Amino acid sequence: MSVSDFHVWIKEAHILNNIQLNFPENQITCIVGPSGSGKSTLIRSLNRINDDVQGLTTKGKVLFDGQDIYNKSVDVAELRSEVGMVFQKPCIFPKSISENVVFGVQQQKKLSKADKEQIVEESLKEVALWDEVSMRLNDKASTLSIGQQQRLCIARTLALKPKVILLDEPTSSLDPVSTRAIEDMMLKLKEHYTLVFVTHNIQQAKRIADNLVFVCDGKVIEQGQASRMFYQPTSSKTAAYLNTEYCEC
Amino acid sequence: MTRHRYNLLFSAFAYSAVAFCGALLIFLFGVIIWKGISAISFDFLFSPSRNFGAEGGIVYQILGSILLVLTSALISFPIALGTALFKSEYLTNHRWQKVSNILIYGLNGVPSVIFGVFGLIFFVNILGTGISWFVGAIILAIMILPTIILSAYQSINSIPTIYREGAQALGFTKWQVIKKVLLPQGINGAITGLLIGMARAIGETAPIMFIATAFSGVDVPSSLLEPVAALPTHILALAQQATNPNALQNAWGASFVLILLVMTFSISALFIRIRRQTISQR
Repeated sequence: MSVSDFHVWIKEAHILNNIQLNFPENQITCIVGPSGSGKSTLIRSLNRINDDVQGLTTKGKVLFDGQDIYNKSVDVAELRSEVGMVFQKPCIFPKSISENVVFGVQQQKKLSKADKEQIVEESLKEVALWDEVSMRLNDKASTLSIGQQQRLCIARTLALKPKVILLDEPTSSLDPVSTRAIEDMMLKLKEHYTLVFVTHNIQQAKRIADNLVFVCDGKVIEQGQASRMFYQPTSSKTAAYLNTEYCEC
Repeated sequence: MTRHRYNLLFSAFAYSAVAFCGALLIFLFGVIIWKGISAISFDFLFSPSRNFGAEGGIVYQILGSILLVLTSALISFPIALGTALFKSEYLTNHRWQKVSNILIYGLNGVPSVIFGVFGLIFFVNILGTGISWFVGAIILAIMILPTIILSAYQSINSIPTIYREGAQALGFTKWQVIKKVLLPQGINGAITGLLIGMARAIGETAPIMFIATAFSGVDVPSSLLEPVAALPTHILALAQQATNPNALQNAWGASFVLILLVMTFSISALFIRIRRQTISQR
């Protein structure tokens, strides 16, 4: 997945300005930047979940599997089943745990009861939730803790077998233990998926990112391997932000 | 000290306002129940009226009213739900939102007698349907549309955006989002609105008196284009025979039955609303 010459305007405001990015496969790409820098808009542009935003216009390309996802012929629903997304706050539906896991995938195809059971088990194991909930799959999903709910949301996305998973600050409403659980899980998930991850927590980026993208004031200031960027950033702005979490752009 | 006194004064005002409302309601219900209950009997509820309503019962009036209001609900509900979904999910333009509000509140503000006159001119005269219960149901359906639209719209629109985005992110099309997420969570609000609308429709006299009802000589209609008897118009007709004590007695009885029917719809609406709150608080 890659982005080229990409601009986003919301009404008059120029939110993203000439973005060039590449998201290497089977790696975690972390997007960091101060709040209001456009990092959320950026990640939300990658599966067109921003489409319903009032007054949104885009220019440029977002390529996925060699095709521009902003092309008119693209089936947005199909795109989103291949480029999954997890949000800041866990969004669970008023259904049971297992129904939540298959909620998306059963819209795509007819599933037998055995299929469903298999998908539920596989997906929950991938997010390390299976041992905690296998005895109460028919309980309401709202009985889970927030951290568990967020992992359930990730399991629900994995059930669709996407190629890319977008995570928009998925741990910002979680406690430290749940945060660690999700970080560990992401490190395992990158074997099978390409992960794009927005965070405002620089330490978290340091722990899990393979690649780092620093966004400030709607522009990509710097991107590259995380290990390099943390120790030898080319831009002084990046250095300032990574060290002090403050940046003047 | 003055602050304290104003506070007391205001509390006293609020309490007495509540007491006044409560007393009014109890008085009204008290009179209707007191006067009405002596007219109620098995025969009154289950036999047709005789001698222009002064004798006999109100079985066809009850059936007619229920037929009118159920049919109007069947006509109104899908249209209102569709309008509410359109307004909440498709109408993004701010100006058109305002226009739609003006239209809906405008329709809500039309006095009920105007609906009756409209039905008389448009259906009965121009389309030549004659006095027809089905036309009455259509007019009642139009009359209760805004109530259902607004209630359904509010409950659908108040579902947090995160649910829409969460479902879209799982590859749901817009229709799937509506069918699988918004309708299951918003339908209670729509049904609340429907019941409130039905409670209003069943008590209305003016919209149906010219176009849908007849006072005597009617039973269960065998086609769409026949008149029915209905409770509110029956009460009106009986009340006009104020010299006949039997007719007045039956008018009180019919009022009592009508109040019971209205309360059934209103209280069901209340229960559904309470249940919805407890679900969202969970």
